[in-house]
Amino acid sequence: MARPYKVYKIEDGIVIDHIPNKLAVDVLKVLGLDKEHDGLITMGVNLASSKYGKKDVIKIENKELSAEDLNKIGLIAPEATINIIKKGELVNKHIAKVPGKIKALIKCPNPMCVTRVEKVESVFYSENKGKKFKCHYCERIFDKKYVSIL
Amino acid sequence: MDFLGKDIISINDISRNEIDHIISKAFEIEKMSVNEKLEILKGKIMASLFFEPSTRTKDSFTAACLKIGGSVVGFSDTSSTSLKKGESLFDTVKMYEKYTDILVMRHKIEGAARFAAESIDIPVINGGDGANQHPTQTLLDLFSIKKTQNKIDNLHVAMAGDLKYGRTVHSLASALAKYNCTLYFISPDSLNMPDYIKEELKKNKIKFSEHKEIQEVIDKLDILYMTRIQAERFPDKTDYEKVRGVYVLDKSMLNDVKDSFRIMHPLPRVDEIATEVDSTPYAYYFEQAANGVPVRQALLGLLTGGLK
Repeated sequence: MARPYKVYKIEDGIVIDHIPNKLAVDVLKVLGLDKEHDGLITMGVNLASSKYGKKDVIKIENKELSAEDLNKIGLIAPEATINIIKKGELVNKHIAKVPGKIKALIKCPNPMCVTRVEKVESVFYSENKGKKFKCHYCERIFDKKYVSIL
Repeated sequence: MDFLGKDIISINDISRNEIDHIISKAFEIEKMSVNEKLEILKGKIMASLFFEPSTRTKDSFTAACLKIGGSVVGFSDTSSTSLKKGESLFDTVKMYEKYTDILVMRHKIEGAARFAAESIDIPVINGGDGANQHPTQTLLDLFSIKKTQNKIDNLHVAMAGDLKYGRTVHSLASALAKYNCTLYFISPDSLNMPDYIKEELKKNKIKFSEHKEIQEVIDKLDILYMTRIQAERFPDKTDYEKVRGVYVLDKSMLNDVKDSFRIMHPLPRVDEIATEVDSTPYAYYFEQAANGVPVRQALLGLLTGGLK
């Protein structure tokens, strides 16, 4: 029997579900919640998932997400579901998507890229459903595993 | 087709129609009288900012500019500029924006030209950004192919030598894909065409094959594009020694080629084309280099409004 898990039910906020396991901390970081949020955050790691085998879940109280935040989640955890909770009820649901154009979020791995030398925000384009990223400036294409989030 | 104020940064930004238009303007310029040419860039100033040494590209742009009535300011040695004092690329191009009409630049940093183009309002032409792009070389290669074959569509084009590090062959392969050419890549295993180029060709349903020897395909070819194996690109010099001199094209290999067959090379060559080939009707590399002038004149004219 699957082991039941307990995560706080929240009144107002968001639940990010179906995060591939071990990536919850990265999602918190990319949203800046590791530093800036005062509300309650609960995080479940390695929970049972029929889709991935294991998954992570994050519940964040008193938090609203901007379109940019949704893009950021899509970059780390494409296909995660984002549930908006108001007064204890689910009022909206989004599926995270890898954004086509990603601004100032990815550090170009190419040390000869102008974004590593001049004061210029990086711009990347996602390819192959987010498996690869192309730098707008040096035009190199990188596998997701080689790119790091700024 | 309106090129006024546009930038030429990467061959990937330029459509086939735009390439065809640039090439047709280069042909028109070649037919113009000296006085007609002098009107194209009359009263305009080209900034020639060569942050990295270059003789061929810099002088080709300078000659192109002067012959169509423009003037040139700039530098080719950063030791005599404020860059040595730590000035940023942004500040340098912002300054030249104020007193020139068009800016040509070469820089070892990849993406430098695109960054410059996004920072200023005058047109920017990329004269090479590190290992990334050199679009005017690709345009002059296409112009040369058209000039020798009267067409670009459906030709059989081979590229030989360093296909891994050579940016000219990467850009040329992508550009020839727009013309449905059949491509042959001839290189040692360690210098094969990168996978991302081959994937792009497959996606566009372009026929290509990989070979070890030039003789395997030479009699089918319209164009053989030779490249230098660049010692400076090898992190390990013993790897360079293994492939150095692996391809040397000599006269005896040209017995069965088509009459219209031509040999191209972006130059400088080291030993990959024997000098005895220079006097054959197939050698086209020196004319190819000279073709840089009308192509660059076409671009300078189109981007500044002197040509339509």
